[in-house]
Amino acid sequence: MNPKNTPLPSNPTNPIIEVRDFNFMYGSAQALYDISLDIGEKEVTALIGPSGCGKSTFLRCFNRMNDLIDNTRIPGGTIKISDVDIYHKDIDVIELRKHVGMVFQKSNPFPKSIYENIAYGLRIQGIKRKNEIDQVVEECLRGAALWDEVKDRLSDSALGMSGGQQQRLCIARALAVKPKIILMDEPCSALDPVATAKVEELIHVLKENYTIVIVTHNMQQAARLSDRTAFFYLGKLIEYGPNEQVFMNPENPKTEAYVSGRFG
Amino acid sequence: MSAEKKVHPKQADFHRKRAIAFGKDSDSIIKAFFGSSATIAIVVLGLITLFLFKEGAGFLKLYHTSLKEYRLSGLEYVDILKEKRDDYTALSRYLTDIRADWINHLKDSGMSAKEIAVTVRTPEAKAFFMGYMRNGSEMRRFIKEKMDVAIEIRDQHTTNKNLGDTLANYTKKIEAVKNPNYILNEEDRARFILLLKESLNNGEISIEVRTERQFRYGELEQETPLEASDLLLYLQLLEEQYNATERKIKPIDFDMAVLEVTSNYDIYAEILRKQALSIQVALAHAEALNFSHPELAQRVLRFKELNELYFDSNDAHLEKLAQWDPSAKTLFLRTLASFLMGKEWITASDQQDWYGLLPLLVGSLLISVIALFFAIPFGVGAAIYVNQIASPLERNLIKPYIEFVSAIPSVVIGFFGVVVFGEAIRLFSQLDFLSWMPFFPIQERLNAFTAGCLLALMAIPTIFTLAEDAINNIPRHFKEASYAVGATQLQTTLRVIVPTALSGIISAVMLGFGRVIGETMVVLLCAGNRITIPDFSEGIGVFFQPVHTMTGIIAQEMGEVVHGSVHYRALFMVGIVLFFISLIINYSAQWVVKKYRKVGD
Repeated sequence: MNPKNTPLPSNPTNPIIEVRDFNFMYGSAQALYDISLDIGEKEVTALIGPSGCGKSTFLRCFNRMNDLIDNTRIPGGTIKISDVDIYHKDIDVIELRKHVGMVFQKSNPFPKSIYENIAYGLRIQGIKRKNEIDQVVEECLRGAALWDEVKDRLSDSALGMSGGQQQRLCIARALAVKPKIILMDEPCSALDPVATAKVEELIHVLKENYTIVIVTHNMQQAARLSDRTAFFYLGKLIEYGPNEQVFMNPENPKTEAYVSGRFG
Repeated sequence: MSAEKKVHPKQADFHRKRAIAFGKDSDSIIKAFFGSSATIAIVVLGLITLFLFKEGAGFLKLYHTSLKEYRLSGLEYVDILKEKRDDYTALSRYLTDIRADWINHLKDSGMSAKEIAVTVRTPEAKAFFMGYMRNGSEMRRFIKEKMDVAIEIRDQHTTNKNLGDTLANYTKKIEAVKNPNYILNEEDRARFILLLKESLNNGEISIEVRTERQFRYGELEQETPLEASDLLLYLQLLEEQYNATERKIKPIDFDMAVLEVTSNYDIYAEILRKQALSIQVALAHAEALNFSHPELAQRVLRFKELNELYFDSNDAHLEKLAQWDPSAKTLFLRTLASFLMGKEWITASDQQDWYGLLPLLVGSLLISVIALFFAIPFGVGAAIYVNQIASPLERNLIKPYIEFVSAIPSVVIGFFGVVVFGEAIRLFSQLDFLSWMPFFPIQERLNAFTAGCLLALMAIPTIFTLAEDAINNIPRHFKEASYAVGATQLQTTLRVIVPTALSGIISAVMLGFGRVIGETMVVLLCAGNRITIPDFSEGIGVFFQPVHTMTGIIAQEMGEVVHGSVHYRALFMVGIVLFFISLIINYSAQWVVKKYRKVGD
């Protein structure tokens, strides 16, 4: 959180993601309308809003995860990541996804060992040297604050871990391919308060090295974690700015109504 | 004190169950309905299983008796004799082949028919070929005689058993008729008239009796009602029949009778010795022949070697005959083994019927292997493609189409196999440029391969649908997680989706196997139905031999067997084996799914 109580300009000065007039459609239903915003490098940006407002859809546009869904299209607008239009036809989606990692709402480790879950990202890149993989696995598990808990059972199935551990493993898995940006889609919604606290702590640490975009339903979490918050409503970006502005002094009455819990 | 009782104006609504019929509410009626449906299904299945086992149960006992008689009657001894005869026949055939090839070779080298005739009919050639062929007659005659004796013993024994049954029936009837209160019914009347008529041909009765009976017969033919006096006559006739039948029984003393089969051992040894000498004489003539072709000369040499082996086996053969003991015990275990591991399925033979499962089991498995060889890659591959790679349009096209294949009646597929596919394969195998393949051209158009290919067609929808389900059940988030770390579609499919769905895919393949091994119509029409174990020494060619299957044999023979006979029960035993195979397949398919189900919670 910014200690100074002075309002910042709504967009960051060092953007890594630039979205301009972005529209998105599922078949004939429009999910996003003319979204424009910048996301700052090595900041945590929270996307909030009531269910069905399009925040998850928006998040999944950054690594083109929506490509997996049939019948989706983008009638207009651009998303640039590091100055590259990611919806350009020449884009290598595979490389993009290595650049933009993702953690999902439900922890989804593969039905493989803990070690293999992390190693997966390397193996698909064709890396076979064991000591290199070993090193990355340890690095990522330490990075996800999981190393001390699992170092003695790396070959056990990942499905035997607790929910919170699984989610941190998924974060570690995302780190293994060395992304610049990590997208998190309600990463704590299925976790108990203790596990949530651990993941939040981890996000704080990761912020040092990664740009994080997080979707959350939990307003306190958004306020605690993020530098900036974007409020979505019915597919439109209603308000975007530093936390102080969005939570303390919202410009739009809808934002105020939502953050104060009057609807949503 | 007038204790005025406080009464509720109206009882609460929930004081009684809401009844719809027979005092039951809707829930318990529905429960009873579905419960009884399930119960009926289970009971019917149980009865079917019970019936299967009941009909099959008597098989081993009957077959055991049959095998005991096989030994007691000396048929087993005759079969040992026949081994030698079959060896000689095989050798003769070998020689005939050499001769035929020799003639062909001469033809190829440009000789005219006349010259060939002269060449192959030189006295030396005649002495060699004809001289050899002539040596079997004495042995054959000897074995034939012995065989006839053994068959007669066996037949007499069977007749005795049948007559014994008839006697028992007569005894029962006579006992009943002797009862003073017995009243003759319509059936008795018909039988009485028949017996009366038959007795007229009996030469042993006196003229007076005959006239009397003739008269009564004439009366009864005119619909005259039966009288009390007829009862006595009827009884008399029945007893006459009983005695006549009893006279027909010629008890067999196996120990004595079989001596007639095993006798003349010395004569047989002498026959073999003479045959050996005579063959050697014929073989000596081969020296004088010039086959003008190294391969033929080689084969003649080989032929001589084989004959040496044939002579050498004489002693062992005679020893085996000498050792043979008709009173040796036939173990029950051996009966079981001769069913489960028997190499022959021979029925309605005039000697011994053999019910060996092996040719059928091997046929069924061979066809299944072929079918699965084609169905697994196609079925699983199509499932992966449709679920993971195909566009929605392709998916909507391919999926119903493959599933439609399973709607084709198997008889139509079998018919197609007979008329189109089998013929096409044969024509294909006859193409000249394919003749380098070791087993081409194939001999029979209906063979294991034809049936296997068509069964693959039938197994593909099963495997496809179940494998597709298994892949579809993989939670979507695995796929997303894989994509999110930068995996390609192929990597995601091969490294995450397929390994995770593997248990389901294996179970799909097993159920496909179950479908294949239980299929009847296609194999009956297309497998060629030759009841022999295919010759595995032919390598891949084994797949192109006609075979018979467990399902096919039941369908083919069940219609023509005598109810309750060994053969009838043998078919039920085959059914039981099939039942267990299916049971094991289904059980292990479930086990695989349960054991390896890690995800989906």
